[in-house]
Amino acid sequence: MAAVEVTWPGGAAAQDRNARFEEIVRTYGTRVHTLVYRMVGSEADDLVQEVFLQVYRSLPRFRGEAKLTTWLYRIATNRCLDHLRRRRRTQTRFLSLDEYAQDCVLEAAQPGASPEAGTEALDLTREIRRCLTTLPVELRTVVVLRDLEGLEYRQIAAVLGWPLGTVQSRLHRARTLLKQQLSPYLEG
Amino acid sequence: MRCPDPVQLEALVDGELPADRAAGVTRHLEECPACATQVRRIRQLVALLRQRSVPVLDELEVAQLVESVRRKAEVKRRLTFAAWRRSLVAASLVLALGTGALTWYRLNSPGRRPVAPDAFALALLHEHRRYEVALGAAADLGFNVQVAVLGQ
Repeated sequence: MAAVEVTWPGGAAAQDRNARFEEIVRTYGTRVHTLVYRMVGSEADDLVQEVFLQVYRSLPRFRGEAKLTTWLYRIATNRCLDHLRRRRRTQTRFLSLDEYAQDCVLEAAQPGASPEAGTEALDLTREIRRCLTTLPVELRTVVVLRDLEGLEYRQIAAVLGWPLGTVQSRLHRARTLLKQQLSPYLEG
Repeated sequence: MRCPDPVQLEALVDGELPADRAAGVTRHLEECPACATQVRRIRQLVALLRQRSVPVLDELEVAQLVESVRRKAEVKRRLTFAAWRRSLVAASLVLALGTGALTWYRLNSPGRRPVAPDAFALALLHEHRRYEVALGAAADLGFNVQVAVLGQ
């Protein structure tokens, strides 16, 4: 995660809640959307709204003990984990084939690429997405936060409330599973 | 040097090893093809995963998101307020009914006539300062003074 942090001149209490909220969405909206999208795919839009609704309601209680980004990531990942666990438990809502294909096309789209390259990228993206989807939710979360969002281990530990050792061991398990599944795309 | 733990090799790739430890592991990689291969595969995997692009929000979508969340928050706030108001009205009704029922029971149940504290409270209401006067006043009004005296 980039080191940019929203600061509140004059102290948090002096800021108007709506203005603060708008600033947060403008600064971090895309990043949170990206994270949620990587976690849940095409259902991200609704979930992002839920995340920011919680942010809006919790904003008056945010005292800055944690970094703002850590706080946002914590809310977003908890929402995603709840959503994924609920979906797994109820077994009522999986990505339909159309939604799955649409996600993959969106992710693989590279402006200016040839049709062949586009097809290859689509296959690879589809495969990566499939592999990520098959990971247990905790492993998927840690690999998304580290390898896709670029968070440091200690940031991941703060976001998920796990000990540092747990972050490392789960990341190792996630990568081991992904390496097995994606071995055709890896050299050596 | 013995082969490092796979978790340490990943920490090296992620730039999470302390400098002295990283230097030791890096030296080890030069002489251990197996560990060097593991590190290369981790790097390839990370690079592969990072190729995935995702749809990003444009300015308009951000504005829509802000507006939508505010609207939902306002609706939720109103619903919460309405729910509180309903709960308050219901609680008041229950309290009023309960108080009424209790009062009726105390006044109409023969075995449960008001006792000393009630008589004393009544005496105070009538501005009597002496306890026996209060009991007398209570007896005149039909309170169960005998029970009250025994209760003292």
